[in-house]
Amino acid sequence: MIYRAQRLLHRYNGRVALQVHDLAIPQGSRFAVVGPNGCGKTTLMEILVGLLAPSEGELFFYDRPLHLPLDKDQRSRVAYVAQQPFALPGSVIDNVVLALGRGRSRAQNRRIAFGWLELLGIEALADRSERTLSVGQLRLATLARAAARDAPLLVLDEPFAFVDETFEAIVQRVLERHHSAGGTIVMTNPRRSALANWATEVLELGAAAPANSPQAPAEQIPDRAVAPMSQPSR
Amino acid sequence: MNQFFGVETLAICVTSLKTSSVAIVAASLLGVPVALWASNNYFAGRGALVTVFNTLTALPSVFVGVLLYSLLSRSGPLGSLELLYTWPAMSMGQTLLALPLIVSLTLAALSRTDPRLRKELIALGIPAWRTGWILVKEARFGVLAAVVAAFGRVFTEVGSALMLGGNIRHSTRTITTSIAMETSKGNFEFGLGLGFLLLAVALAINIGFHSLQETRAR
Repeated sequence: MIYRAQRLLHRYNGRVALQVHDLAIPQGSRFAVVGPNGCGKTTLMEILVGLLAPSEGELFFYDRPLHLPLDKDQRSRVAYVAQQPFALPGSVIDNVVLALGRGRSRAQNRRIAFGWLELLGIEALADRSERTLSVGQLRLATLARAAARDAPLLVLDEPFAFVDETFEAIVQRVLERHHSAGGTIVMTNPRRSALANWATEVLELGAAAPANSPQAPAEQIPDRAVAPMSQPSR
Repeated sequence: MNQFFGVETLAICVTSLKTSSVAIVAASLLGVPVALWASNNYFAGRGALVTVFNTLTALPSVFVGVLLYSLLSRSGPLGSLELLYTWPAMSMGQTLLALPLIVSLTLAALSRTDPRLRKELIALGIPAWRTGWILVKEARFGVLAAVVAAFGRVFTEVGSALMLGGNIRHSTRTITTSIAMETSKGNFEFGLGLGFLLLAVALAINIGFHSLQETRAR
């Protein structure tokens, strides 16, 4: 298992934003997290990639407890594409080069980065500043940056929001490439049907929990805030 | 008035600029990393630390003067260094005055950077030193404003400069200590002239910083 957790819970200002009773993400799976807006999908993604510590419960990553900050080995195993694409200051290729890290010459890094941009069909944007990109282009650039890290686990938060079919096809191609190379993909989407044919595992989160007492123990939180993990869809 | 446009006035200008510049470089080298560290780490007492630095921005220069005087005087623990009444002692005092201002204002500038930037840097596994460099670059206008404000504070202070430098002619006499001396002697015109000179130098330096910001913004 890549991830394993029980009774994972997160609160923002005392309000329950996420509750997952049982989480298990197997290696090599295409794992979908679905649910309506505000159900905690982004919160779960940020917990999985080590940007946020859960308020309650312990998450295991490759059978080791995941504590913040992640160590170098843990960090190298996961790449993340956030829901709101955000590029670091600089050109598109600079962003991808930054993700590649050190250990190679600058020319080698640029060549590898350019290869990723070609794969996503945005090589023409290589030297463009991140400030001049459209949201769709920015999404592709951040996907190239994440994919370039070559991590076995790719976590994507609603990568298909506000994008056209061409973009969706490009992303699908990159994800397919990652999966066929033995990688694991975790992806969120507000609609279950959108990922029905893609996912091998689905976790359905319920609507956001109503305002509970800040001190309310997890047992008292209504179950309707949580949906159990379904069986693999195929 | 002829003596105003002499070598002596030039010498006190040079001493003022030298002590303040060294102090600002030292305070920036210490203060910016401290602000980065406090900005990137959440620990118990972080709020208290920020409050302490905010409070120290109002540190009286005479208090810094007394504090360092007691350390640097012949009978003090650092007396053997024989720094009292030298320009490095004045720079040390000014560094202490500038440090809280640089930490507080840099911290404020860093807190205004897009929170997504920090998250992306963490998610990409960028090493801490590089993350810090990228954040400072992103907050450069605020950081530069902190440096400018701190320079204004130390360049115009008189309390610690007088106590630690002693206003020694051709050695530790600065524009501000000179103003204090000339005024006490009844040379109000000379004092006023030096006051305007102080303002002119400060204005020139601020114009320099401003044009640097403009260049970076383009």
